[in-house]
Amino acid sequence: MNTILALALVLLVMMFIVGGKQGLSNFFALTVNALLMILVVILMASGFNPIIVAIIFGLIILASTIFLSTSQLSVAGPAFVSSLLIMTLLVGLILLTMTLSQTAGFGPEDSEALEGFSVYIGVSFPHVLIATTLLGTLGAIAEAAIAVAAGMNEIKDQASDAGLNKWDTRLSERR
Amino acid sequence: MKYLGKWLIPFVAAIAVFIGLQFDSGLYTKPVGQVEAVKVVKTTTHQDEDENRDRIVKQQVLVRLLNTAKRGKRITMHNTYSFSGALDNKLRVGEQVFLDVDKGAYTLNNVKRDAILAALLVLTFGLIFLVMGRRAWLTSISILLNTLIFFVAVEWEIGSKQWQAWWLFAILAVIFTVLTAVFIVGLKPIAATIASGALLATAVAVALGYGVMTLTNFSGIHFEEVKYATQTPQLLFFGQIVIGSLGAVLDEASDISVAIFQLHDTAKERFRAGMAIGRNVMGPLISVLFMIFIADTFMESVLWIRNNNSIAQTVIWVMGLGFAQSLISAFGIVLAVPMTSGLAAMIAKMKRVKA
Repeated sequence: MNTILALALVLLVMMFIVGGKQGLSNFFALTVNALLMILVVILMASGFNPIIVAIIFGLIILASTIFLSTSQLSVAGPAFVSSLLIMTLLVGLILLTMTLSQTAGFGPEDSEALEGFSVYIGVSFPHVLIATTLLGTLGAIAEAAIAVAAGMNEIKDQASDAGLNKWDTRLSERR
Repeated sequence: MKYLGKWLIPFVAAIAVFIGLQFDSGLYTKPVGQVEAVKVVKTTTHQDEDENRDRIVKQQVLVRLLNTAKRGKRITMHNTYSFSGALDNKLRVGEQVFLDVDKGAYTLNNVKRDAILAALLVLTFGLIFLVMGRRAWLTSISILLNTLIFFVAVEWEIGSKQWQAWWLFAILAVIFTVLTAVFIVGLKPIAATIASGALLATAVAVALGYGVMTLTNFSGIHFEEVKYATQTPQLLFFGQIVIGSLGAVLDEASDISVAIFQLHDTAKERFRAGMAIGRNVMGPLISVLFMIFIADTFMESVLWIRNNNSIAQTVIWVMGLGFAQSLISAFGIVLAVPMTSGLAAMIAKMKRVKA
């Protein structure tokens, strides 16, 4: 049997044992994201602008990660909206820094891997790098947004200014 | 307004550092120059065997030298770049570059990237300090210390070359974990819980991953595609998994342990609470690593498909390693939930009995 499929199957079983229904939903999100990422590569390679592809699929991946990770709408909603804001900010920052740093493409250490390949492929590597950077950060953005939204949802009933201060001190004490 | 203004500080500081480092060329012995004017000399279309059309542009560049004895002198050189830019860079006015000099003739060595790198570092740490307040010191020191240890270990490995990279990474993983756990919660029993939970889960995950791979005869896994491997690529592959997943597993283990130690229930209830927390965070954590591992393969995947490899072949050869890495890392993240919950519940109980 194919090793990747076997690994995926073992993960599915473990996620179900540990996470139950939630685990299955997480695994489903992972499968969806895997297919989306393959689709991103295909689209970039067929000549679509990598930046635009990354932004469109970034939105879809954020949505699937967040809404399949938590069943509470009061957590998923704010998490999704704040992720979108952060993503917008990051697109600007990534465009700026990647343009200034010019780190795209391959270095001398890649010469072995490039042997036999034509590098003049008509797809802009700087654009592919921007897509890589943007999509690479999305998982972390979604995770942080869900964690904060879930935490705030937990404490919302006790949330008054005095209460929040208490939380703050409690947090710093325990840490 | 005052509140908003605070958030601008890191950005302003980053821009200031970026501008400041435009004047640091005196620190380098290699010639540094600033591009003052560019002119396109020739544009050709390039077509390769797979009918990929690319544009290759030769530009004439006027560069003012910023350091060495020839400081202030202006030179002209040529730079060739392609639209795809796999191995070359388009030069722009205002940009600073390192130059090679041979018998008075200057050629482009590389783009000077210290200013943008330092600006990003300032921005990152500035934001960390704004968000975390006093705790940022500990986090920053922990990050710096881990980075330092990593560099020293890699330098030492390169110097001696006697060690298998795998053992180096295994030892590094233990050091990183213990150090980070102590930095998160201090020298307390809970640090031991976090560290042992994370290490145990990672170790079992790698063993399980290796077991599944052996049982399926590594079919569809192409270790020859592990990048920059000069020694056994398998071991390097697992080393990458261990170091790569450590942060996520540690994050989860500390979330679970901290919550369990705060409860005052029986061990069983504590275990159940830990499992509930873990269940909620494991999905998003797995996608963090997954997105990074897969996005990392984009450049090579596009190169492969454009070089007339089928999509299936590209997915298996190039993205396959990324998938395998994400899956085995995911083992660790899932396993850390019951393991940390169990350990934390046990140790928290022992502590209460003693007290």
